Amino acid sequence: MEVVRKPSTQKKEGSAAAKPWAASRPALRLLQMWALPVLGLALLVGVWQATVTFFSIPAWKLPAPSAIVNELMVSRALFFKHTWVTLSEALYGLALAFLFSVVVAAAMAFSRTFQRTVYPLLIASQTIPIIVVAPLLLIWVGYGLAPKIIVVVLVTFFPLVVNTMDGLRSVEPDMMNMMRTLGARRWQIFTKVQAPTALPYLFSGAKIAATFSIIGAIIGEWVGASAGLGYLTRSSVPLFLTARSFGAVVILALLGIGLFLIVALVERLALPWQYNARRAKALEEDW
Amino acid sequence: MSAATQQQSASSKIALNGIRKDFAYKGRVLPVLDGVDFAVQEGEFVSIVGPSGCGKSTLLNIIAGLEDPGQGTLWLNGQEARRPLGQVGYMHQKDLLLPWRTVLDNTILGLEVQGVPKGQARARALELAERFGLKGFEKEYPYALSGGMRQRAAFLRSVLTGKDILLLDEPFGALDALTRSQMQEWLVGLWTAFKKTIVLVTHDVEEALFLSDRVYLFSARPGHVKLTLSVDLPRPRSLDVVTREPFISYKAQLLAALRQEGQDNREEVWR
Repeated sequence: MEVVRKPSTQKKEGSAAAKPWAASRPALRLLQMWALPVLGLALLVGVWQATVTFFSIPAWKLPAPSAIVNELMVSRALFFKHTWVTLSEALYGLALAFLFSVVVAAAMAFSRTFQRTVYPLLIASQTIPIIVVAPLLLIWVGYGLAPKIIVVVLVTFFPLVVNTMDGLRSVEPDMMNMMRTLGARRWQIFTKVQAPTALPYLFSGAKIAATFSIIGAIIGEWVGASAGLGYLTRSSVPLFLTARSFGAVVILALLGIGLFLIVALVERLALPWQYNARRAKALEEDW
Repeated sequence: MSAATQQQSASSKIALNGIRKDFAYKGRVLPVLDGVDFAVQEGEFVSIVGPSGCGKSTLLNIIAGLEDPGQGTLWLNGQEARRPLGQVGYMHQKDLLLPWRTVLDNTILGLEVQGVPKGQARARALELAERFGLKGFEKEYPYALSGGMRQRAAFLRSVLTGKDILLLDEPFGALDALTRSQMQEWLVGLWTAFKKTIVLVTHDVEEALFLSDRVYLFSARPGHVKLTLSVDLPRPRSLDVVTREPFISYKAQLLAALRQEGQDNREEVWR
């Protein structure tokens, strides 16, 4: 088989689901995928809890996992309020970055001149530390959601636009020529071949952008905010509310993972042909 | 161009007169085609064989309109043509099916580009699915098909566009020997049924002789027609024709000329 495969489809899955003589393999796979990481995490938390208890470390220095969970339960209304702020910043930023990146990537794919002008600037912009720009945004657009959303856009735009553009340009020249011999116009080649080819790349970029968006929101809050999980971690530390700070970190991690999983799920639903081709390939190799 | 060749070009399905084509590469000029003349009549099956890099594919690209004819003229259907994109069907060695489209939706790509409504296009493709050995696989994605089936789907995509000229660039090159010979027989059947004019580029001398009315042997780069051979074998041809005269002497003639071409042109010709 020589299906035109995207780089991302070449990842081999340890799929054994269709081997009748190896009935235990799916169970083993499930164990490898979920049980081991969960076990590792449990071990880490256990050691942490034991260490804090054994050495009687004060909670303001290092709270035990149980203390963090307790804090999460007790102050859940507070956490909920701040989580909502951070999540909105991240999602607004992501949505804007998504729109911009698709438009800019398409423009770059259409016009070599535009690409030559803009692409180096894009790369150069990535060398400016975002932490330097973030305070300036406060001067320019003031407090509130706007500067945080802008920071999120700044950090998530790059992976999205670069991946999308690579995808649009990854179409084989033979494929473009085939379309041209069918009499296709530039726009038809774009919508019927380039855009669908770029989709898996766009999703790869979106997975990176999803996790970056939370980091961006936190940076935005860190330099000046009155709400959000970034603000919460920052304001809790001087008050020695260390468990509260840790609680915010736990939520941040969960938000990042959650956004990543949502993108991965949408990808699978949107690109069934890719998922199926990958599975078929894996099965073929297994047999 | 003399009046006589002009007359001849105008009455042919495809005609090429004095095609010269250079490619600039790293500051040097590489002549690829050097004065190619040939003509294909309506309904003919013609093959081009030649050593690797003799400009065969460039020639097909010119007829398909992907490249301009350089110094020289291209005639299609009795008219001079320069970049006749979308006027001839072109089949590549790779099937170039879109992996996110079902087999059926791949075959209607050309019709879609022409603006035919999807439903109507699908209906037309379904009528031909059986003839192309795709019945029952219309809703599958390309990855689920064998190499031969994918190639037939690509054929159907070309045929459905309704162009009466088909250019085939080593369409069976990537298939195994058995599938290839089945596909060759199938192609002859298709050609007879649909009355297409076919130009086939191939490395395989036997394939060229078995399928064609006429074989053009190209020289090494820069390519030009070195030998024209009319294949005088009755049709339909059965597979065992290849083991008998005059097939064998045709084959010997072509192979000898090819071998000589290889010896005379060991060194790249640069200008």
